[in-house]
Amino acid sequence: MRAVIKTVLFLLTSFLLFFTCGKIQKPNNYRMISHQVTIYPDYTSVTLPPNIAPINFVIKEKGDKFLAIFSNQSDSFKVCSKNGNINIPFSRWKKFAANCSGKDFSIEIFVKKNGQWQLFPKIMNSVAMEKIDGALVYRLLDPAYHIWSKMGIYQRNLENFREKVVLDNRPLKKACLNCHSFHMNNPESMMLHVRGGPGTSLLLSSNDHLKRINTRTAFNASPGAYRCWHPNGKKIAFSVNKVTQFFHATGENRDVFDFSSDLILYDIESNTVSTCQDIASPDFMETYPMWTPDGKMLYFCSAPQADFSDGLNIPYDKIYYSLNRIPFDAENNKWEKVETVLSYEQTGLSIAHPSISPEGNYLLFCMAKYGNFPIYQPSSDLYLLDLKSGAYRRLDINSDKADSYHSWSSNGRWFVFSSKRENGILARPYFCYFKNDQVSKPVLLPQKNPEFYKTFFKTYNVPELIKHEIRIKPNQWKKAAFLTMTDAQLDPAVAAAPNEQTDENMLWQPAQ
Amino acid sequence: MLKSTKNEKLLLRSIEIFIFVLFFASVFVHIRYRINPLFCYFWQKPVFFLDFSFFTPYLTYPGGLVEYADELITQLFYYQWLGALIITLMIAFITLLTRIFLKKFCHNNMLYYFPALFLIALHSTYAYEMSKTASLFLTLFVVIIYIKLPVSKTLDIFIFPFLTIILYYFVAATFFLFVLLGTIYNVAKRRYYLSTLFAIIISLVLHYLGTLVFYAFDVVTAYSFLLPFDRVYNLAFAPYALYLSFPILVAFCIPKFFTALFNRFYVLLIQIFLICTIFYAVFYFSFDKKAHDMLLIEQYAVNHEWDNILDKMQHDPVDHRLALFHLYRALYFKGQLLENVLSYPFRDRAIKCFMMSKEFAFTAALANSDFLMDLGHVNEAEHWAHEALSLHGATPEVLERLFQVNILKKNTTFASMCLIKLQKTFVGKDFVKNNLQLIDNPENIYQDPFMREIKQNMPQKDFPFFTYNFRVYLENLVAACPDNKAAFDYLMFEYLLSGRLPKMAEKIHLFKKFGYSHLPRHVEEACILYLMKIESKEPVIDDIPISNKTLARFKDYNTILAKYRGDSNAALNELFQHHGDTYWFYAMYIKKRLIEEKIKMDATEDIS
Repeated sequence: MRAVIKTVLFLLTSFLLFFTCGKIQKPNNYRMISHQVTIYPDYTSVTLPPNIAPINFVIKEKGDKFLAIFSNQSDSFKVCSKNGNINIPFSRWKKFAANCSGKDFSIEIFVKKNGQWQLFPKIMNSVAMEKIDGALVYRLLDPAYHIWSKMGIYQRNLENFREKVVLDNRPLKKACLNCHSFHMNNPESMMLHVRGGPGTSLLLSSNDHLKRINTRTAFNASPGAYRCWHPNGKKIAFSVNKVTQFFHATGENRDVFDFSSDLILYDIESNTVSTCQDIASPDFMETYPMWTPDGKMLYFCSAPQADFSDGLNIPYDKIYYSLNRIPFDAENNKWEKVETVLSYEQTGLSIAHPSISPEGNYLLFCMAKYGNFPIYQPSSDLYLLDLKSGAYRRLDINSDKADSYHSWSSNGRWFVFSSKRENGILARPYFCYFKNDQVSKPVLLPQKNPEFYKTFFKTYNVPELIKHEIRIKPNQWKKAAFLTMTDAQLDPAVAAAPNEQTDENMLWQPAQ
Repeated sequence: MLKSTKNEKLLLRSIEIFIFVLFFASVFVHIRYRINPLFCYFWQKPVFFLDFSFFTPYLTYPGGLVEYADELITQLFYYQWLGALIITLMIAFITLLTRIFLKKFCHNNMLYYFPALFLIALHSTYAYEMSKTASLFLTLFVVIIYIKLPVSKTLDIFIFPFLTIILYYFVAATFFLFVLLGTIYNVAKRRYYLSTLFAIIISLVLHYLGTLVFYAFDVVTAYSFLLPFDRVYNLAFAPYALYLSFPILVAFCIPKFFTALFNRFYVLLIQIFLICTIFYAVFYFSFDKKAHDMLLIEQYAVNHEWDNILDKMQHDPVDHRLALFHLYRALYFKGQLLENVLSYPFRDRAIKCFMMSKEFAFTAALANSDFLMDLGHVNEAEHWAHEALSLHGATPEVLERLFQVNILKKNTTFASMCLIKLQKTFVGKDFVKNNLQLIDNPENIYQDPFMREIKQNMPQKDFPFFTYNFRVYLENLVAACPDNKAAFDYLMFEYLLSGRLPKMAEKIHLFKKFGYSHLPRHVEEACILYLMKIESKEPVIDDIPISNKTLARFKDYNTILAKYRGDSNAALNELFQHHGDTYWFYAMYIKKRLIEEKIKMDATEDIS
């Protein structure tokens, strides 16, 4: 049946192509235009993964007919359009991109205006040898203030345009879903948080087995939040944060700070939460844990505990996070002493979202003027730290808007990050090629309709690359969200925290 | 004899048609002029786009298509006559389908109007969604197709369950009615038992299977989606009466209950009387005046018809927090906030209602955004427009507000996204036409005097706010934009009503700066109390004299009080009669009561 539908669609497309632009040949008479053609999304001078979906785009020039000729040394094809939308035939693109692997290709754009063809300077792009991971997982939600309504975690197959729901909050009484995470880009080991709805819990999948866990213990009244799987897949480091939101009168109006935060370590097998003074100090706010690929070191962000005693004068813009690390012995569950990797004193900025490349040589992170919530800070940019030399630099890929959360592909050649560069309000996923310390121009995630983002009012949150699509069905996640919750046990060596308030009075709340 | 029977039939048919036309003409008038579909539009805030990507998600669950149609139709309610026509036609078709169904059981029966009566009652509740009427219409339509189908007993074993499943996809749980009516027809007329049994079993398990296939459905939703039993209506029994009326009417038909007792003409008369009585009762009891008046005020506020709000609240006040909120906005725009607020009813609630607490704003996010625009606080107006986006989706009104704030903040990329979206709606096209040029020339927005004022009032410097304390917020706003008249007026209003007279006195000199030729009446009244408290000998504050008129009134106020030897309880009625609209009366009675009720002004709205 599927094959029949595909054949019919193919024939229909061929028919349409034949009658719409199949007859258009590469013009012989044309006028050369000196300025670069404007296309949206900006797929000019970019490096693409060989397995990416067609990079459909729209030509933002006035004209009656449009022609795009894709060429490399051995292959060429053309796409015509009457409205400027260049919708590349899927199979033709796949063949072309595979053929271009490790090579450059060009796009010639012809625009017919007032009966005269115009040719713009060639767009030169290249296709990398290395593939990007097969799927991207992200959360889609409205720009969040106090209230959320519809939200969900989705996966997009990067090799085509298929987007599927992993879990959305329709059947979960409008619960908040967040912080999806994977063990080394492996979709078989996944976790996500459910807040509210059927009850605040951690949903954990491991080899198709789903569990529902309450990560609150006598030590941490707040459940686990920002997270990172230990490379052995048996532990997850979490931050536990007391978050508050507030608003600004000018500029970006949302902002967030932590009243306090600590790190905990959750052992999946023993269902135990443990921690130590060095990562859960009352004098510091520790957050954003990140393991090195060998699992011997935990990187994290840390700021001195701020004084919030004056309720009318909260020093939110005086909270600066440094990058620290602490050696860890996974065999014996032993922590050593914390050392500072990059301090606020060195950078003058506040660090968030450290993410180490899979081979362990680089650390990608965000820095903003203050605080630890870069997506609300237009000043947030991406930086790269060479873990061998200790040198760091601001990447050229940044914009004047918030450039924030990022995730490496499993081969370390690609990373995806969310950026609000397009409109300052909604984050979009961009990916970059990374090789020999060099980062290529960001590429906006291609969509079937090239103008998709112009009418899409949801924000892409926490983009995570995974090797292939998640196999667990939404219904299975839904069921898991209603399973009986297993309470995590607190390691007896850890003292309970006295008088800590719970976060039941949630800052963000579902629409009623 | 034969001719006489024919004439009688013709007469009955003519009467029936006449009644039908008359009935639905009345329904149209009732819906258009009393209920007003525009108010349903305001209440339900439909989101609809002429866009394939908007359509496709509706295909993924049972009842989705009807919901899609509902969004489309409800957006058309913006055009009041069209909305009334659609509702009237839908009810008329349901009535005709009911008639066709009942005719299978008995003739000359006008009881088929009963479902229409209950539907009118349901449509009188502004929250009632059109999808429920549409799914009922579809269900009855399939019922009629089914009973008209010449199916054999064997074929029916497939047809009945097949139609059941198909209908389930379109109308979700409403298909219960199809199974019910199909069962009645099969048992009473066709004597098909096996297919009926199959359909009943399917109807019971299909929902549960739905929860397994359609991930968005939980069990409760699966068994109730698109049935109208999910909320309380003005006539609480109406949804049950609507659905029960079908089998009950059949029950009345089968024994030929009426026709056995009376001749046909009398039967007709009795039925007309019955329908008229219920019709009147439905019109009378199902109408929610409070909701109607509140929505009327909201409509006035959206259109900036401030005089209408003041007139309505003066002569037929609406006891609703949102109505009061708009009253104070109207008073501000008419320059009467500090002059006349105490002349309006519910003055004891003014201090709580002139701004929205966070919780209340969640129920009226866009209205709060409107108010924040009045204040020139564009960032907060944007904030609450986004809350409205989360609450109601991308309604044309939300998109228009997001467009405005983004043009004011020079974010033309996002503003153009709003216009592209609005272009795909029915009601937003004019807005797009009128505002498209602002994308290239955002400065042109200041040609609109209201927008020019907003620009003038926008905060010049940032201040963070962590709580919803009205006073702290307004003080910050005035500090961040010293030329913001709106913020100043509301701050003075807050000082006045909360009795912070020293604070007010500190800022008295600013009235001149904001263009006041004299102190507003309530401010003068409050100043007299303040001057008495500080034992000033002259009725002058900051070199501004108190007017003779106010002084004379105060003298009269004291004379009345003296008449009762200072006994405020004894003087209440006379003071209320002559000076109930003064600040002195407010301070002596209302504010005192508020304090007695332990409403601490400082923490009134501090719900952080």
